Amino acid sequence: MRKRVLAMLLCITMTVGSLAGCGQQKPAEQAAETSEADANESAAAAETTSESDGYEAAAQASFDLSSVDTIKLGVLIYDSTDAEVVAFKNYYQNYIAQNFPVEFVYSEGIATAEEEVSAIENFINMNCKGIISFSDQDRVASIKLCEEAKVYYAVGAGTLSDEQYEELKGYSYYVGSIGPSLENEEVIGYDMAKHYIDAGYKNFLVYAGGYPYVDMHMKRTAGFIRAFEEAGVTYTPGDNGNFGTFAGDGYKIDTIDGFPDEAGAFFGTVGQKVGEPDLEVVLTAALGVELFGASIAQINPEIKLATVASYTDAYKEAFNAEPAQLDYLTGKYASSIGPVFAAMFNAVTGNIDCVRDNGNAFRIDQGYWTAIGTEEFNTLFEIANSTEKPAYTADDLSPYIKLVNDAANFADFKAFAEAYTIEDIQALHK
Amino acid sequence: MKWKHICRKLQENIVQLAPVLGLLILSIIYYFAMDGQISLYNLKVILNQVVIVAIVATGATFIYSMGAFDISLGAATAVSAMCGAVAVNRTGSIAVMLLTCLGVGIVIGLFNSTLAALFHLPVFVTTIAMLSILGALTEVILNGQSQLEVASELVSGFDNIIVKLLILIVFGVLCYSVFELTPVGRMNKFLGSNPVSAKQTGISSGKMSIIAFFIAGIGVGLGAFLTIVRAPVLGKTTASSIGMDVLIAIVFGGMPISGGARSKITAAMVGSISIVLLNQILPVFGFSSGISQIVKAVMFLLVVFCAGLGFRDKTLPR
Repeated sequence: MRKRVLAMLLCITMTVGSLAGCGQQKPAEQAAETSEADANESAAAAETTSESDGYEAAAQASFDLSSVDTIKLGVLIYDSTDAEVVAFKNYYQNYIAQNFPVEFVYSEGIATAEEEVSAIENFINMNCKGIISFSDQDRVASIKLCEEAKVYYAVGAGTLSDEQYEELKGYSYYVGSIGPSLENEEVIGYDMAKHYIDAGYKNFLVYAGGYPYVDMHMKRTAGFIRAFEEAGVTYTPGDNGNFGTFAGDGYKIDTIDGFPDEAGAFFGTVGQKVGEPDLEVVLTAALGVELFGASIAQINPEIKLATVASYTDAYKEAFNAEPAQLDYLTGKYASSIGPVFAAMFNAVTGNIDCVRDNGNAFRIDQGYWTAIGTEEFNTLFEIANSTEKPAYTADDLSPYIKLVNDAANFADFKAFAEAYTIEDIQALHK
Repeated sequence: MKWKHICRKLQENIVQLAPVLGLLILSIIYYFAMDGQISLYNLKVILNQVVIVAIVATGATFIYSMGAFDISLGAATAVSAMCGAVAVNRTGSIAVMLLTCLGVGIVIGLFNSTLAALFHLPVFVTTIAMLSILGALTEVILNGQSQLEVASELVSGFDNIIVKLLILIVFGVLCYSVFELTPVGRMNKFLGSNPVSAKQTGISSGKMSIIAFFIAGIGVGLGAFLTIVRAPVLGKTTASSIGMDVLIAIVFGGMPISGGARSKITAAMVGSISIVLLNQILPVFGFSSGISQIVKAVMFLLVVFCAGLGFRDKTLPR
């Protein structure tokens, strides 16, 4: 008996020790209080935090919001280990939270609508004033839940369908969405396929992801189809709206869709299709490196792989592998979520009117960056993930924040958020 | 000698009251974590999160009290919910949805217990097989889609706390009555304490496991119904955490994992509230999701250890 108690005590001591070693992060509220008491100490602490997480020294903004109490914002994420989510979190946690009086709390990875509801309820219970969502299980229900609880809600990267937008745009606590529109998704698919068709490639494998159930995958695939049809290829739709087949005019185009299953059959099919002789290009509506990278590297590294993803370390490795695993990337960049934060900050500080589109929630189109080849990717990656000067710095965002600029208005904000190309971003910093 | 007796009595009382004391302590911590500002909305959120786990766990108490172990409860809830969703989408009738959820939940339960009784297999083994079968069934029902949606207008009328509480109370009272006031509960506990002796006194483990799984099936069906009502978009991982939540809730509620004489039907309710409060408290103190999981795991081990203090030595040989 005594031995068991001792063993248990030892276990608890070890666990407490290891938890202490995990270095629980100090809430921003406490950090803000510290900064009021001792600005120098706080700056040093911020620098230390930043160094450990990528933002070497979160550039200090030129405006002063120290009189504003720290505001808690919830962030809904779909997978805490996903490279894109990690990059988003890094930008908010280690750059935005260092320059604005906000504290971010994150949900656990959300895989079901039920988990999404619970996560929102937990944020509301934690007294979050606003929620920025990167989860898309049931947005309509989420927005209604926030409206009922009088908590602001914004879509961080994505959009609502026309029908959803019409239903929800008048909600007082729905701030809006910034992200690629479905039309834009079709265009990026078209551009990707067109690039290789124009370059003279004839032998393709097309991966349609969650076609026809995932809207963005369906649109990107529709872009592929349009480009091939323009090149004289005939596309025959599958039964019940499923992905179909291509034929004709000197092109050989194989197809695959769906996701990996527990039995591993998906990867077997991938290996078989990648191993087809003369295959030149693999066009993927999503998850290109994750699903095709290994097979291409093992079977035929000369195959060109093109995908839609994000400017993260995982893709940097793929582009810079020898030989490169990836040839073409259309993707999001970490600080693309800056403008939606500016809108949310206005909302939670009582200035939602300056980001209202004729009194309604906004729906702003913000597209992707495209990199072709390793050199271009590396250039864009540096800008996308700059540790000193992210694409959207605090000073870039401040003219659209009412507490900093009394003249902030929706028209300027919309123009700012829609100017997302690399040239636009570079112009911001000149 | 007298002191030893008093100490032992005190220890037994503490162990008996520990779950309620734990819940009380968690409630006090929650109160302070919220700076004393607990609104009706906060309570509604807690109840919303408690209700599904509490219902499934209350039904599952009948299985756990026998010393059996069902790890397929989450998958059973998911399949019942999906069948209910298909039914309501085809008929537009909430009554049909409820009956389908209940029917599928009960059929899965009965299938589990019949399989165990027919092949003389431990229930745990059959539920492992069922976990795979039910997982495959969800994919079949989804038919390649990532989600199965029910029009929210159809079910939103039931997404209110009064309906949920009513279902919880009615099912809770029913289970309490069967467990505490009929021979079913006593026989279940006897089987959990010592199956050999129980069989020698004429208790049929097969018959009792069918009854236990039937009642658990009703809990699964009701849980599935409320899952659709709460979030009418179902996917492959819907309700996947329920199996583990139920186990943790029952243990947090003070019921031994091995079942037996100390099994309590109230453990499910006490444990469900405790686990939801814990989920609310940890993020307030700045614990990230990863650290929260570790803390919960450590607490789980602690509770199991404390619940077993001074008890295991007295268990009859099996």
